[in-house]
Amino acid sequence: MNCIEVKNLKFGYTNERIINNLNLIIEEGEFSIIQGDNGSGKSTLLKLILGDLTRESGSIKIMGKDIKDYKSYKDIGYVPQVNATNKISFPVTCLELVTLGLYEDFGFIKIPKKRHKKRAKMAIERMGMGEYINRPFNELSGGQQQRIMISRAMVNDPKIIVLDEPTVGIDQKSKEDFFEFLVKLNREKRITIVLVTHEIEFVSRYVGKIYRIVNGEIENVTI
Amino acid sequence: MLQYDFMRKALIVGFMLSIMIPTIGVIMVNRRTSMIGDALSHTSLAGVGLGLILGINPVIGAIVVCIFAGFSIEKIRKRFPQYGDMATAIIMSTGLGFAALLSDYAPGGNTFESYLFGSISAVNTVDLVQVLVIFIPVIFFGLIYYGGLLNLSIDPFLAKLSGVNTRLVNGIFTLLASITIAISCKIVGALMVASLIVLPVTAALMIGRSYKQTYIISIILGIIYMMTGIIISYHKGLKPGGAIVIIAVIGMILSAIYSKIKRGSILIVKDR
Repeated sequence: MNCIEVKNLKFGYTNERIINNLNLIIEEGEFSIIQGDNGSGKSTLLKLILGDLTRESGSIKIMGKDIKDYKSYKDIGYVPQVNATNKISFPVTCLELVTLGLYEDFGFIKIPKKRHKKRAKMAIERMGMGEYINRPFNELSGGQQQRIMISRAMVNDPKIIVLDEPTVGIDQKSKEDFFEFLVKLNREKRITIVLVTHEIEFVSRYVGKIYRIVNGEIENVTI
Repeated sequence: MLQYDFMRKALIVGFMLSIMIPTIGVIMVNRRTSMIGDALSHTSLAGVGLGLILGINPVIGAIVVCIFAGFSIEKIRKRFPQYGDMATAIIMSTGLGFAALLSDYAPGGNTFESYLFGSISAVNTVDLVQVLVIFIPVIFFGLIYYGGLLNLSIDPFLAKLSGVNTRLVNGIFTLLASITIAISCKIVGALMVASLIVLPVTAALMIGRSYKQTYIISIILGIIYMMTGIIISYHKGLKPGGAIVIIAVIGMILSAIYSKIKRGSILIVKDR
């Protein structure tokens, strides 16, 4: 089954077209990379796939459903880029952060209950970050922050995990550990992983497929 | 002090405001939009002037103008996200411009001036009822959308994916923040409200180790600053807004010292 299906997608912020007649099929259980130079439209494509931006034309389907009608966002775990512009500068503990991933289950009063905290704690522990549960997120290193963001993405047991430039600002050793973890996740749990990055040499040894964006189109597919 | 009706009312109104303002403030500061509070409080003066000229309750005038200004800022911010706080500057300039013009025509110069730095002797039953009417939805909203507001402060896109109705939560927040700021201008003063939005939260950020702690500490500090400020202004004949803000500044300095002693270095809140 196709997990993500994009056909003849077109999008531009102003007059300039960023995504131009793009076609992409990602199958269930695939570990794939969307690669491209800075400004090539990788993150824009992710935002279109996740429904944060509205396409000009073309179609986007997730699990066979058009993105407009897709409501099961619990099935998608999203790991944003942790950089200077979007980093969290106020004290929020890792537990608070990961618990927020369960927001839809909070009930009428949107305050996390004991059961939500328990699930979040388990998700953090699964990532080997148990000792950091009550630490403020902004006091962790880049690699540790990435692991916490993945815990948040994983807390709902998603079918797809989408990661936007997850290795920016992380040292080589942490990058390797991180990718080995993703490979394990993909193989053992059959979770579809879609990762956007500008790095190519490093990631190619870990993944199944590499889609390269050039001039708003998928130029080639490396398997 | 408590034998005077106006002081009892001022303390009750002050207590409610000191919970409401940091509730709004903690979100504004975390979302790096605290200058919006400044813009709205300054803009509220245009509403005060309008109210005085039209012969209606100036606070009602301030509420109407603040709601309009609050949603205008959000609209401009959404339309031009690349220009940062440009929307805040536009609305603040417009509001202040109107306030300056209208102040020339507002009857009773002292009345207009009392809204700049606040006044406790002017607090009446109507003000008490007004604040109570808005206190209930602000606290209710703050609790109901505790997780939604925190989610939005962290990352609006992540919040949306987590199931937060971002348009609804943002809309209600803008509405309640605008009204809270407008009704605060009578007792705290339009030029001082923004300080009360930021200062308790800044002090709490230095002490708190989690969002929940920061939230609770902000409210406790807000109550301490407000009550102390009102009591001092009564005994010393000072303007309440000024007294509250100076106490808040002292509180912030003490928090910084406490933080330094506790952690070994002053926590500088990055990117603020």
